[in-house]
Amino acid sequence: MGFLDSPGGKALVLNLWRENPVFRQVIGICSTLAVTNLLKNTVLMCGALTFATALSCATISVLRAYTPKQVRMMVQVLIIAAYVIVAGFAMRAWFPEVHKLIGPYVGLIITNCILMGRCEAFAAKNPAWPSFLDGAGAGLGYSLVLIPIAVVREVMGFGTLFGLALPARELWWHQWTIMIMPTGAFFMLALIVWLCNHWVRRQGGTPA
Amino acid sequence: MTSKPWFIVAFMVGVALVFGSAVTGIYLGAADLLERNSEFLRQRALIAVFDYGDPERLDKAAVAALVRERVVAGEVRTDPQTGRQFSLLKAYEDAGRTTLRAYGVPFRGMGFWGPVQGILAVSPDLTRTLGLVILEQAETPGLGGRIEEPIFTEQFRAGIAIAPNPSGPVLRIAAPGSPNADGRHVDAISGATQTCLAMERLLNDHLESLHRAMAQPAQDPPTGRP
Amino acid sequence: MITPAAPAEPGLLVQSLVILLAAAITDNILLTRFLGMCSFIAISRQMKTSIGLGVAVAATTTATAALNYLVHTYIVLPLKIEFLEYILFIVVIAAFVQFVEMVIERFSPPLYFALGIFLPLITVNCAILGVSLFMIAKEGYGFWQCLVFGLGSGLGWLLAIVLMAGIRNRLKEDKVPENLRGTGITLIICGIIALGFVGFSGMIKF
Repeated sequence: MGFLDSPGGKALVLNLWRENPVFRQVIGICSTLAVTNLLKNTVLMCGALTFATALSCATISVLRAYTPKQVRMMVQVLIIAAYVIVAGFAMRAWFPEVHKLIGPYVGLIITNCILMGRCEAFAAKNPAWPSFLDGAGAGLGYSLVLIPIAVVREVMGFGTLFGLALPARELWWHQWTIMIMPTGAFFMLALIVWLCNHWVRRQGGTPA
Repeated sequence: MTSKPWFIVAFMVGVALVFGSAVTGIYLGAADLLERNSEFLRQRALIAVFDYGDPERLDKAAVAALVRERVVAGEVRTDPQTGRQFSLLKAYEDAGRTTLRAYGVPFRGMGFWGPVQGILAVSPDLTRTLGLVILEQAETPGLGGRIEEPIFTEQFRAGIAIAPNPSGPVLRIAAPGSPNADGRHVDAISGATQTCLAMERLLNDHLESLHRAMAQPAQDPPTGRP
Repeated sequence: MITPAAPAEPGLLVQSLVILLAAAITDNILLTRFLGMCSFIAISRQMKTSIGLGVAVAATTTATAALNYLVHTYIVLPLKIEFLEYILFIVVIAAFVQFVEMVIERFSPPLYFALGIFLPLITVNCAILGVSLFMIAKEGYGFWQCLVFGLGSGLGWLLAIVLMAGIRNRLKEDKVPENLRGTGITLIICGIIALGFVGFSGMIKF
């Protein structure tokens, strides 16, 4: 049995496209709006989110048989918060400059619906390793949407990519301030949802 | 699964203890490194705000030595009207500490998203700014967050007039190209209106307070009380 | 130089009113800071459920703002455990929601079924954690101010979701491109409303 046929592998791939958290389930978009105007911040944010989602899904799955249902949510948020704080420390210790830039948003990962959503929908019913892969897949699926948005917003808003100026930008580039503002993120996300719905409908599925 | 109440409470407490102590342990383990990081960032900020050289090119030891030699945690002054205390830094031209180069005025207040903290360097006669550095801010990355970038801070190094202004605010943060006959204008950052309004309010508030406080005699550090 | 006399401290009532209006309208947590978007987009399809969720959020922000103020002042600050603040805040919020869920289930089953799905959604509503974090960042807020700030922010969220539900209701009959219906058009509307809210900035200073 190959990796892609195992329950974990299947979950990982489903999260990347067919059940992508951002454009199929429309969850976890608060941070989408806030951090996607610079590519570097977006990549780090995606890394922190993937780390926190995968590990908290695995932990919750290990504890699932013992967790009383009355306090399920409290246990979940507690575990999620612990991993997110650790991710914040790691960033502060090794990338102090970056932490200065996006620190506050890292804290808000705790309430990112993707984490709680994956914990409830998958980790609470499945063993640890598939849950870990499911969480990692959700994080990667999130990155898959955020990174293109960030590329477009940074190029149109600042004329840079990863903070480096684009070649010969005096010749062709004109600043679109709207792309720096949150409104730009709304429009970009709507565009992506639109394209994906178009594609899904063509394949004979039901759009989000 | 339904469980007995004692088990629910015990489980919750157990999970909280395990994860709480794990996070605390990691925090204490990393505290030293984090402390050194933040001390170095602070010293580098002082080099930048008092214009002692390019902080990117100096190594850690040189940065620490420069700060130790030339920057002194100087006087404490109190604004009689609001009771706000300023712990001013004094930056000297040379290691002998003979000529005063600038005062460092620490400021802190609410930005748009969260607290903004920084140091404003002003000339010894309190008529113009010599530098600005933001130590802590939580504004939108790429928008309001640019208050700590050269696009904003270089204007303060170039010098903004900040003498007391009986006819209006001490300085104005407004759209680039606004009238600037009195030299009190600072270019705002496009797309970051909220943060710029907050910064304008914050800096004016501190500068007005500073002028009142400097009219009072200095107290001895630390926080001298009568 | 003559220093002007200190302005008279505004009365508590006036101050509360200013905090309430600023939090609900000019600093609307959903439309200026984009917190709580997920449930906003999912639920604003129908007016009735929007009002239900909005009221639940407003009640929760008010109560948790007050509780978290106490946690911040009497636990976090004396023990110097700022790094655990996120955990404490979110656990207080989750505990509160779960407690309310149990009480409602016990005493009013019909209300429990009506609110059923909203309750878990509230815990992960970033607006609620956001309110607690902004509140402690504000200088000079006491218990009462935090309570009012929590209420104002919650009412602002309610206002925003009711607005959006109204707009989406009107759009039902309109010719929106097929694939843009639902989420897509809602995001675009949000973007346009957000642009409008930029104009409110700085109207109420406090």
